[in-house]
Amino acid sequence: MTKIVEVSGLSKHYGKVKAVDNVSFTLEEGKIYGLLGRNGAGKTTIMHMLTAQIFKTSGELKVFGEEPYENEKVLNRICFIKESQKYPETFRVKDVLNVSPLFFPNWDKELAMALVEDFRLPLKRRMKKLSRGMLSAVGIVVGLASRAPLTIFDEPYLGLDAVARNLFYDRLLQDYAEYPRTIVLSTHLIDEVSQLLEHVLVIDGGKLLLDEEAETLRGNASNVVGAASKVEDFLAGKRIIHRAPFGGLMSATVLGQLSAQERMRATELGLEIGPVSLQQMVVHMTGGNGNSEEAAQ
Amino acid sequence: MSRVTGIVKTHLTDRLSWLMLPWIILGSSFAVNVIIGSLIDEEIKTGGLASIFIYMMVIGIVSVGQTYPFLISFGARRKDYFLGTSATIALVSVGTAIALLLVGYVERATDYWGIGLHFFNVPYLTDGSLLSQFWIFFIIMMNLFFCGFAIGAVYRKVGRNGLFGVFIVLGLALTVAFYLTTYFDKWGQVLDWVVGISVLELANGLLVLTLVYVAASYGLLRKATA
Repeated sequence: MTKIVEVSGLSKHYGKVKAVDNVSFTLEEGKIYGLLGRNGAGKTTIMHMLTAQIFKTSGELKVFGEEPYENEKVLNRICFIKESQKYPETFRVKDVLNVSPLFFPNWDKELAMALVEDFRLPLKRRMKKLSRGMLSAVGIVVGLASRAPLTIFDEPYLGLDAVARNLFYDRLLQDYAEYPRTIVLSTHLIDEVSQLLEHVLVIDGGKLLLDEEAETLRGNASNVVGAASKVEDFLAGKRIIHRAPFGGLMSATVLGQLSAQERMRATELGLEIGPVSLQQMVVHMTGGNGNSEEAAQ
Repeated sequence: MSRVTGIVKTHLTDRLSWLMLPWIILGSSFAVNVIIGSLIDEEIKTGGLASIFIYMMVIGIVSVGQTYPFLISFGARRKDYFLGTSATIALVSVGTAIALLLVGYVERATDYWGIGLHFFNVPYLTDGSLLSQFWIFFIIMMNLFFCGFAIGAVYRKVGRNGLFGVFIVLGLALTVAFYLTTYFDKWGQVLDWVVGISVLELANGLLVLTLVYVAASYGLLRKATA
C-alpha cells in the first residue's frame, strides 16, 4: 500500500494551548478515512497542517512523500474543503466552478454540472447570498469534481438537509468506486457516515485516541447490561469506556473482543451483551466524564 | 507557470473591481469637472485624475483579504499567489496607463474638450515624452497598489493589533524626522530638494519604494496562514 500521508510526533501549540499534541498516523492510498472527534479536538488544525495552510510547531509531516509547504507537486494533488471556506465576495457559484479547474488538474466538468443539478444550486447567485446548506453543497461539488488523489472534507454537510446528505454519500461512493482515491471525512455525524468509513481516527484534546480499521472496530466493543454486582464481576480486568448504573442495574461498555468463553460466562451471569455503534464508542471515549479506565482487578 | 495564470484569471474574474470600477470612479470625477468647466469660463486644472490612482491602493488593500485565503485553500502556493497577483496589477497598470495616454491625446486634440478642462493632462506629470508619461502613470499605479497590498499583508500576518503597531511605529518615525528637520533648521533644503525632483527621478524613486513594498509583502505572505 502506498502511503499518502505520514505524520509522526506532529504538534501545534498556541502559547500554552496544545491544539495538536504529538500525533502520529499514516493514511494509505485508496481508502476512506474518518477523522472523528468533538468540536475543538484538533481535527481542523491537523487538516490545515496537512495542506500547509498553517505551520506545525514540531514533528514530521509528509504528504505524497514530501513536505507540503510551497510544494506544487503536493498541493496540486490535494483538495481540502473547509467548513469555513471563504470565497471572494463578488464571486457567484458559476465563478467558483470556472476557477476550480485552474487549481485541480483532474477536474471533471460534467460531474460538477451533474452535482449542481442534484443539489439544485443556483449558478448565478453570489456566494455570499447562499444559505449555509448551499454553501456546503458548493464545497461538496468542488470536492467531488476535483477528483484529487487526496480529498479532505471538513464537516462537509453543515446546514444540509437529510436528502442532500444522502445524496452526498451516494455520489461520493459512486465516484469513489469509479475513481479510487484517498478521502478523509472529518465529522461529528458519526452514525451517518460509519458505513462509508474504512478506517477511523479519533482525536480528543489534541491527542490521537484511536487509529483502527472500521471493520475491526465494529466488533471491538460491547455493551453489557445486567445486575450491577454481576456486571462488576464480569468487568474485572477489562477495559471499560463507559459505565452507567441505574438502580440495581448497570450498563457498561467494554473495549476489546469478547471470547466465546466470556460470552458464555455472561450468559451464565444473566447478562445481556449487545453491539456498540461507532458513534456511541466515540462519544464514550471522548465524553466529558473521563476517558477509559481499567476496571479494578 | 500554469498556476500563476490561474491566479491572474481568478483575479480578473472579478471584472467589476479590477477593470470597471477604476473607470467608473474616474468617469464620475471627470463628469463633475466637465459640469464645472462648462459653467465657468476660466481654464481648469484639476487633480481629479488622482482618483484612479488612489483606487489602485484600495484594491491592493482589499484584494489580500478577498483572494488570499480563498486561493491558498484551493491549493495555490504562496509564491504563485504573489506572482499571479503582481502579474495582474502589472497588466491592469499597463492597460490603464495606455488608456490614460490615449484619452490625454484626445483631450489635447479637442482643445481641452472645448471648455479649457485640463483633466488628463496634468502639469509636471505629463510634461515629458510619451514614454516618460507612460512610465510615471504605470509606476504610480504599481506603487500605490503594492502600498495597499503590503498593508493587507501586514493585517493578514499579524492581525489588527499588528497593523496598529506598524502605523504607530511609522508615525513615531515621521514625528522624529520632522522634529529633527526643524531642530537643525533644514526645511529650506528639504523643500529645495523636493521642488528640484524631475518627473523621471520621481518615477525611479517610486520604483525603489515599490520594490520595498513588494519585498515586505512577499516576506509577510510567505509566513501567513490562510
